Amino acid sequence: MNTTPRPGADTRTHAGSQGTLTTIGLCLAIALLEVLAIQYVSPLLSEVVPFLALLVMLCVRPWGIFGTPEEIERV
Amino acid sequence: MALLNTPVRRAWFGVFVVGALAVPFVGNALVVDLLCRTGLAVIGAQALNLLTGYTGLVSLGHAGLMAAGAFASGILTAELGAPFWIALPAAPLVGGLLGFLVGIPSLRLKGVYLALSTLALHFVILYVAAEYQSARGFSTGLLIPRPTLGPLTIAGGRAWYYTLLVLAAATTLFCLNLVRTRAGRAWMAIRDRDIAAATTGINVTRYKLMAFVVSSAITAFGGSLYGYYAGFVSVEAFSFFTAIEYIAMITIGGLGSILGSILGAAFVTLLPYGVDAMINVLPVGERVQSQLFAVKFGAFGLLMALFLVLEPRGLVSIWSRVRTYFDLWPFRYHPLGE
Repeated sequence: MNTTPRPGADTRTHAGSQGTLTTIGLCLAIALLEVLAIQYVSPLLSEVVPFLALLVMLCVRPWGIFGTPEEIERV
Repeated sequence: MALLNTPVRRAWFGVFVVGALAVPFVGNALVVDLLCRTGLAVIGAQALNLLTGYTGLVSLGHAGLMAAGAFASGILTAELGAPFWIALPAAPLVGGLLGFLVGIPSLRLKGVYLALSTLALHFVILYVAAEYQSARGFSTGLLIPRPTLGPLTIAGGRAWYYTLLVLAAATTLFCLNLVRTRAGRAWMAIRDRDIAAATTGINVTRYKLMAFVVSSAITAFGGSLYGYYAGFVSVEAFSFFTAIEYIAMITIGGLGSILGSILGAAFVTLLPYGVDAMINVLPVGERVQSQLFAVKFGAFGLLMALFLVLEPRGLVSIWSRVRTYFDLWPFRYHPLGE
């Protein structure tokens, strides 16, 4: 049986398989960004930092840090 | 004239125009204020409908774009003393530019990814506005003087009502004609299936960006008018809830329908006041009275959910069903077939 995910197929099991510890690590990274923003730039910025990270991520690697390009449906 | 192609339509349109013109002479100040708010909502809803209803691109960032338009006009008027005829057209220019930037992710992203990127842009725009507000010492917001155009000053409910009526009608006409042109048809083709649209020779990139630019420009224009109408611009007025409200308007009204946007805008704008009136009339306990704000939110959410479940095509499908009923009466179907 061919188990290679087709482009655009349902690949949630692959995309979400980076593991609990990695997720916790990424949460901490976002929290670190927020705290750094409060410390060095402006308290107002801290609410926006996660969204900025999201935006950069969506522009650069929409399939996520651990995903592969095949997992996202390209336009 | 192609839009009003039968005598019956022309007659009903005449009735509507006369009715709309007569309202300020009949209704009290509250009615006029509510209709002004509805007019503002119609402009925003038409803009979002072009993007989400006709092109199929979900945007959660339209409150941010409204804020951008309002702040563009507000800063030009309050800080630089620019006249109305410069400050108002500046809003759609800023909106169009931002729409171009917002639209760029839409060339690569689809569905939930695009919703997330526009959501992110909403917060970024509001952050910039809040930062500006606090840096320049406008802790509560910018005050905008009454708009003056030559000898005319738009002040008072009645003047605003007619201004907004004309502008909302113009926006509606613009959108109505736009979706009948090549661009509108291209947008609908992209909404239905973008790959198929590309194979029929539609430049998907260009038309998607165009949809974003046009929609954002109109949205920013609406935001600027909102600022002028309120006489006041602040970030609090453009919360994320506003963006949800506009999504609700076009969903409740009916996605991809000009009439639906108008109905939805009126429905969502008037709903809180309807709930108010109903609570005053109905013999409900003090407990409900004291929780009025929560009750309004609850009613809004409940109605949104009910519409999605029971009437997914919105108010406009109720309207078309009623119309079909009277069209066919006394039969329930076309007796000679069609």
